[in-house]
Amino acid sequence: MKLRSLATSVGAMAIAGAAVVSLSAPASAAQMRQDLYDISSGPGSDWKSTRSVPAHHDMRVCDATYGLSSPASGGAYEMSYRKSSNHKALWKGPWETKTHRSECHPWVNTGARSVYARISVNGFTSLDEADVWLYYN
Amino acid sequence: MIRTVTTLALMALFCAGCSSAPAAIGPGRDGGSSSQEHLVGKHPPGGAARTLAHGVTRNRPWALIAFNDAYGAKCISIKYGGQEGILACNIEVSAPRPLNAAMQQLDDHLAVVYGRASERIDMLSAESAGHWERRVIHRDSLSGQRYFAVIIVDQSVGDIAGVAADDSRYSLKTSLKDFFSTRS
Repeated sequence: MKLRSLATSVGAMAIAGAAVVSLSAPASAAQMRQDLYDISSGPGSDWKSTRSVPAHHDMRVCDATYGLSSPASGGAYEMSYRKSSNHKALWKGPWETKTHRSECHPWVNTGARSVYARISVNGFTSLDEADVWLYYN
Repeated sequence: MIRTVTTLALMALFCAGCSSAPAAIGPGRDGGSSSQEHLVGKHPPGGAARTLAHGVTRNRPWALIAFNDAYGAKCISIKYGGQEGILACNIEVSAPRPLNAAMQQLDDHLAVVYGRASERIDMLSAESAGHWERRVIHRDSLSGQRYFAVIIVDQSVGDIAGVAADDSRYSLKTSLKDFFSTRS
């Protein structure tokens, strides 16, 4: 199912796009898909996960996959991880125009007990999909 | 920026086929695990990272390192307190956006902005308490790309800007402000 379809099917709300953010903490990649959270708001907005994951010093943010399907000309988006307790940013990636990106980050213990993911979008008319995978070993 | 986030529904949605990421294939988006792992940022076996800059801030050593990952991606990260930080790979720059950077909070006091400057940026400066101080852009000899790192103590840097030969200026102020904000 395409997320665009999801947005349409749920479309009781006037939305320009939908994002799906998944935060999971499996023991392995095979088990990684647990819960999915659908988040949506208007264009030019932030999308953030509705649940955080516990952070440990050996946590890896691995295969973070997220993307956009309708980038406007000149637009860019940014991915960040924030502390759940006070919303302070732990890391923010460079702006990106690629529609999808997957990476594996070694985590750094910055004192956060849990983190959540946020995608900030500028210059896009819609955000149709954004999957974020977080898991730690 | 609109801050309202509306939760639509909690659904077990499997998004088979909606990814087209060409360069990084990890666990499948259909919920399964891909047998092919291609995670950007993986250090190559025996590969050497280049130290582009280093220093000591608040008695803690740090270094800006660059390396080409196992798949050829051009990556940088910050080593701090004996750990390698979160890397940034294949950082995009363009004519309208000649500076691009990642930001990381290293501890309760220190943050770092580390990124790439395009060839058109002649000079990089950081503003602190109204004073601008020139910062070095380092060229990585292997990748040919130009990188920089600005260590920030207690959010003391309010802006980082690059100036091109034609005197046009590109600022990271908005991005910095967003990074240090605690809006929910």
